[in-house]
Amino acid sequence: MVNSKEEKYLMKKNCFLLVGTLALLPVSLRAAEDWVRYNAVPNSSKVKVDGTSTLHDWSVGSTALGGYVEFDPAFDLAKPALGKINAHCDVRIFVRQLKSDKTDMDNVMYDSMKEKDHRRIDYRLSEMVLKEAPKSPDAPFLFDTKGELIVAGVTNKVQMPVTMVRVGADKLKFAGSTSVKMTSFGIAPPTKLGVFSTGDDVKLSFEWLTARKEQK
Amino acid sequence: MVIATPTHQHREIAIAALQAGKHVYCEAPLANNIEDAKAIALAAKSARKQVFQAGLQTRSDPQRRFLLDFIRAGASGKAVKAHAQWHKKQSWRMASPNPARERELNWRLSKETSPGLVGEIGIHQIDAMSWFLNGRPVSVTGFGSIMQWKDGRDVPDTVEAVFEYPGGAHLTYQCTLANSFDADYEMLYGTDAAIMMRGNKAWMFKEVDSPLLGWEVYARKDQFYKETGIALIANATKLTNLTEKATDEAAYMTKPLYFALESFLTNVNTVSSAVEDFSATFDVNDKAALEKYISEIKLQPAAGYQEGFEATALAIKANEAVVNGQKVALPKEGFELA
Repeated sequence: MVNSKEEKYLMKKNCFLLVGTLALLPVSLRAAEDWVRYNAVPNSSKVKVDGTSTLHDWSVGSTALGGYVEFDPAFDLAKPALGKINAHCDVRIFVRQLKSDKTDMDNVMYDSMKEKDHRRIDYRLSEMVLKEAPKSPDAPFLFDTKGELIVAGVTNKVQMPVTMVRVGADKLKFAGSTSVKMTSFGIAPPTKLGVFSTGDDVKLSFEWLTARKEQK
Repeated sequence: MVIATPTHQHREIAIAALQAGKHVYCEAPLANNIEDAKAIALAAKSARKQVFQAGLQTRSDPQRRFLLDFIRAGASGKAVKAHAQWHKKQSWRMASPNPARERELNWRLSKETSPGLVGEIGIHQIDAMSWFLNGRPVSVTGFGSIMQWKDGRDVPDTVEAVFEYPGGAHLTYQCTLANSFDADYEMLYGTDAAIMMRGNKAWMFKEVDSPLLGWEVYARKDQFYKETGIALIANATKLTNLTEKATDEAAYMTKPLYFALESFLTNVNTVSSAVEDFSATFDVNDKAALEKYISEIKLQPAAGYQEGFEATALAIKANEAVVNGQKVALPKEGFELA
């Protein structure tokens, strides 16, 4: 049984929390609404993973590169200011959509990447710095980026230069590449006893087309 | 869903399954009349997120796909004629103590429900030969008689059909339930070599004036009466295969049905996972984008609704020619779905 004094105190505390939450909510919602969002365009992107083996080089790829990028409304594409950009970016790809020319080898890759437990590869941007603004409308923006890459359930920090070009009135195309080690994600480079073994280093490269989300 | 019912019962099941969102493997022929075959193929065509495979097994067979590349590369020269046969002494009748069940079981023996020998058996060999000849026939002339099994059936037990291909090459097809000699095989006769396909094996019989390919000097050879057959095995030019000993063991021990069903299951898995992942990645309402994504996926080799319809339409017309003892023209519109 709660005494009346304590009850009043709790009510007062809850009221304060409620009012406080309501007061903060519209501000954060408004801020998110103002951000300019670009969503991944289907069938227009490509991601490639290139690796080596004792037999021959190999490559897997996909076009199903999803996700979004959002910019602070202060970031003006027409007059971009160099330096840190406030941006959010999430990119995702389902592991089994990565394919090579050989179905058998794809299955070896999915097993190595523990696809059954970790179906997606995710990338989350943590920092974006504009190093060079385009000198003409068709020229690329050059960014230095930092982010987190999650593969097979293991998160690693990655840094890579990324280019961005405007495509038409409402699209942005990003491109970049970086090298990672399979073992850094807890992936043992696939081997087939006596036949081949793959190298630990792989190169990830992508071209990612996004389109501005229509304003409601 | 695998549809392996009597041919005339495919339509209802196939369309219901496709409309229920199921992936469908439908045995060939798709139907015993063109209208039903077209209805199934059109239902499959509109089911973009599903796999439809026609049971033309040889289209998935690695040995025949290897031969196809070999033939298309011109190894046998210009194709001048082809021949295929299926000989097996058997009644084609199934027994049942129940007369109604007996009738139902023996749907192959009644013209009303059966596309005949050329439709039920010939379809696979004729489709494969049209594939190798790289074209569809322009006419078919048929002959058929009941020579052995005069048991009340009205479907011929011994048939012959001659298919004319663009450019003048002919395929002769013979099928009988009255004699077993030489069983079943397909022959392709070219200006440089003849190629014989028997089950999962194949041999090449070269002309003396044909150009030397090189690898055949080292290849395995088998004797056929007065002829020497050069064994055609996938990857035969690779060093490991050149030393293979002549044995009864085939390069592929499993039958085309195995490969056809393997393709079906792999493709079902590939397409359904693509639909699932794409829908979780992009806007699920963007149907056009999803269909484009599916259309660009590399699938295992298999006959689809178009190949299934074309082969069925050809088999039904060939049976019409056999039953009526006539020449039937095969205009290209007869193979079109829309």
